[in-house]
Amino acid sequence: MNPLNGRVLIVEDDSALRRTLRTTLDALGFDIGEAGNGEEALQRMRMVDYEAVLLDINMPGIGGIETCRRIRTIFTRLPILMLTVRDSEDDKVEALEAGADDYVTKPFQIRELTARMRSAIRRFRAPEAPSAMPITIGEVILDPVHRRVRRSGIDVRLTPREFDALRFLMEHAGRPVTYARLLTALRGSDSVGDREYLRVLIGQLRKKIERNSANPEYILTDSYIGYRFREV
Amino acid sequence: MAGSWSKRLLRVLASAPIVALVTVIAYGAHAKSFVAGFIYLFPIMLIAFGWGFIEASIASVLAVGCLDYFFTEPLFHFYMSDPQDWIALISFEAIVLVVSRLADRLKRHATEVGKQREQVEKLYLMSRDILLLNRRAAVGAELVRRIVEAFDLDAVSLWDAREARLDTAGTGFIPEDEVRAIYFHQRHGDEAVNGRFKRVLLVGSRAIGAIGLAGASDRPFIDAHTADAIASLAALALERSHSFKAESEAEASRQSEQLRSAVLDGLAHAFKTPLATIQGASSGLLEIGPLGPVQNELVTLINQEALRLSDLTTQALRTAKIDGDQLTVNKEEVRVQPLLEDISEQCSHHLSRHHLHLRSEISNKSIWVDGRLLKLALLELVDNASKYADPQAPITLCASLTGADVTFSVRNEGSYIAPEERLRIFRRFYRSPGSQYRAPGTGIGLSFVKRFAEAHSGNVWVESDCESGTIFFLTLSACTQGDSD
Repeated sequence: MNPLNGRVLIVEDDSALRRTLRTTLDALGFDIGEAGNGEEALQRMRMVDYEAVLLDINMPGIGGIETCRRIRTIFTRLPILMLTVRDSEDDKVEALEAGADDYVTKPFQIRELTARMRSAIRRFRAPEAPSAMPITIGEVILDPVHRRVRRSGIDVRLTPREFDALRFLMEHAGRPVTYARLLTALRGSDSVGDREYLRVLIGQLRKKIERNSANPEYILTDSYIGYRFREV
Repeated sequence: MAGSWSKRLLRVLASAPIVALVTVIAYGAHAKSFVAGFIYLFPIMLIAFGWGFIEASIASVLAVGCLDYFFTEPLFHFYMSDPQDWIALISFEAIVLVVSRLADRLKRHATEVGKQREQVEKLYLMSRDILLLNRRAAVGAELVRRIVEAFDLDAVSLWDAREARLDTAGTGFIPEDEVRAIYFHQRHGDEAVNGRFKRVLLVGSRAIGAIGLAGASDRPFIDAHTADAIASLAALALERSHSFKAESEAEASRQSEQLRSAVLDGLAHAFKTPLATIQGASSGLLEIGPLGPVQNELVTLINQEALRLSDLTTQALRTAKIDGDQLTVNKEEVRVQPLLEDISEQCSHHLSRHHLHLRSEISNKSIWVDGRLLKLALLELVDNASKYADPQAPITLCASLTGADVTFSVRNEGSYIAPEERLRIFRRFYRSPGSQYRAPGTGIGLSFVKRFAEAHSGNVWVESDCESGTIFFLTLSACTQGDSD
């Protein structure tokens, strides 16, 4: 067990689930703090430096999404994982818009949860890469300075829009990027809702990047939410 | 009938003393033949008005005889010397006959009008009664009772085709087959002579039943027009009660459905968190390890069952949700193959009795739909198949390309849907007769699939035969532009 797995704050109103998570994650080597609601969480975060927050979306009081928004205004880089329920894609999208990094759907397997948390903490601990540095994920290398993309050592020709979309996705690799966020990044803040445009754009991008665009390994679709670039 | 003839004979006999009385008065007054003629005219006219043409004409013959005998020259002889008297007598008789005839006709007409007014009044009273009928009770029995009372009929039989029910009233009897036959042959029939009428009950051009009316022999019969009017009033009353019933049934089931959805929704949400806790604990135990083989086995079991329960909860939530007010469609690109696999995975937990086969004739195709709703619709079809299929029979979920459309089909063996049911089953709250006892359901699932198809300009239908089973089809237009092909 690695005691340096990370300091994680669990924010969950249901005490049984909170206890289960604390016991299990503690045994798996995480350093755990607990809060029963959003207000308590914000208070604890002023005293302890956490490396990740596991935040239930449905809570009494200010609620998960508002808590997420408030945490984000204070801690700009801190990973926030939302605990959501299935069939509530609108909530998930809202949480991601509010600044959450990722979500885990209840009921979940601990293995999936810890994998997401570890990768979030790893990203948090890594020094923020200067944006001019090339990003390498798998066989795809993106050079932001020269606006060049190579896959398996071969140059890939992308249109400026395709390049911007790919860069945004790769910069947020491993995390879901909502349609609205990607659209805003590409066209400015006033262009939300045009998913058809994104569908075509991502389709073109997949044809150029993926080995088999019907079964993508890099640009994955997060059903009803958006897209997610594969993690390293 | 014999009564009316004897009455008539009595009147004829009574007219003799009347004529005699007039003769005595006229003779006593020494009236001339000219004046006597006018005096005779009065009682004869009264007879014509009061009793009828035949009585009046017999009285007129008597009067002419008396005129001839007592008032024309030579007196006390039927022989007349002056040929002008002949002419006068003949014209007198002719005038009397014409006037009597007219008077009789006038009287008949007045009687007719009176009778008609009476029937119209009865019809009016009946229509008012019909409006006041208790719509919650069966309307047929009350209706026939009121018709018999209002029109003084011997028997009334009413066949309600929708309820397959016969109501009769009155002392007489009309065979049930006869009334049903009116409906099935859709033919009216009049036997005005003995006062029997048969009418098909029509609403617009649609037959909803039949009515048989039989008049009593000792009372005046109703006429064909009245029979028509009774039939249309009865049709109206039946239709009104049917639509009221359908309306209140739909309202009742809508309310109970809303309540059910609310309860289901609340329960399912209440189950979610404890289930998450159980699953978190069991998967956590497996993750922390190491466990002995027995412990491992048991914890795995807990984990699996928690997963199953959570699937059941999700399913319950889904049913509660698809009955939500309206479909808001968020179209996106949905890839067919992953969708089918997703459904298959989700079904593997709760379709324990059936095996779901996937067959896709298209590997790289996308459709532009609301993926969440499409998944719900297909899950609904698979669920539906599993409810009605033979136990252990496989269910096949297939996607194929027909022209520019993607057709999904869900096939199961061992159930049959009769042709007349094939459209109705897509109606909201409709449950085919007998299905209540075969499978649990609410009559919402298929209506949702239909609403979904309509919202996507698609189509849904069913084919069924006894041997090969039942196939539901759902057609949606494929993506024309895009990345997948």
